[in-house]
Amino acid sequence: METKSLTWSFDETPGLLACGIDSERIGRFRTWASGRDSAPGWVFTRAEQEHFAALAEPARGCCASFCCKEALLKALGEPYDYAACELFYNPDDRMHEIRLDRDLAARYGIGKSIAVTLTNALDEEEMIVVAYLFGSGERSS
Amino acid sequence: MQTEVKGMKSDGPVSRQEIRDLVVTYFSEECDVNRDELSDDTDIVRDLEGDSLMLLSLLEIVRRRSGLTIELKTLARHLMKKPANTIGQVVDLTVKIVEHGDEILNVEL
Repeated sequence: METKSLTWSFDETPGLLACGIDSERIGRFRTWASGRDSAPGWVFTRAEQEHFAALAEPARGCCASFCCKEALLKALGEPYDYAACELFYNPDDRMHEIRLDRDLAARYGIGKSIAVTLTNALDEEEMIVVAYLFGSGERSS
Repeated sequence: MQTEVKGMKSDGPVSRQEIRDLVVTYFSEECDVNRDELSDDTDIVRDLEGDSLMLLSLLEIVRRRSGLTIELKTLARHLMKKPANTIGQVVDLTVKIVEHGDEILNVEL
């Protein structure tokens, strides 16, 4: 999988293809984030599971990852393999890392970057993620 | 006569009723609803405020018990053709997943 940085590429003035939004309560992910092999392997990659297991708040990282996948699903408008999109939550207000499978990106004409915004609701117990897809929209066969 | 469902790890065939019990128990606990209040016609979203995360959690339980490796994309495509909005439909879906796994898309709907 190719790593795509979470940046805005204004040089190419990419078009906004679609966006999707998802919101979940963080507490719902405490079981999935509770330990090794607790999270569904068909939703989260091994790398994601290891990442959020190492966080001070694993459930928050797990929630962020799941919301990102769901937001992408809504942006694409059709099912995709959730392992093709990985989000690695960073709690220190630095950029979160996103990885998008190159084949998936080409299939939908997504360009160099996919942008994601993460917002914690006022009570800090709900996370809201918006995924923005930029690119030409020219789909590969 | 109970319909036997092949595929679950157990000492013998698993019945549709056992799968239904699992589904009803799950939603009863997740949604804090009395089991007696749930029927096959109970709408998961409208009546229980359920969502996709609940369905995924339930199916993860089924997957772990049955050892299946159905792909999420496969499941989602099946749901697009045949949505599972009620308890009864979720039971039907679960039975099909246990019986057919990733071949579920090839099953006549």
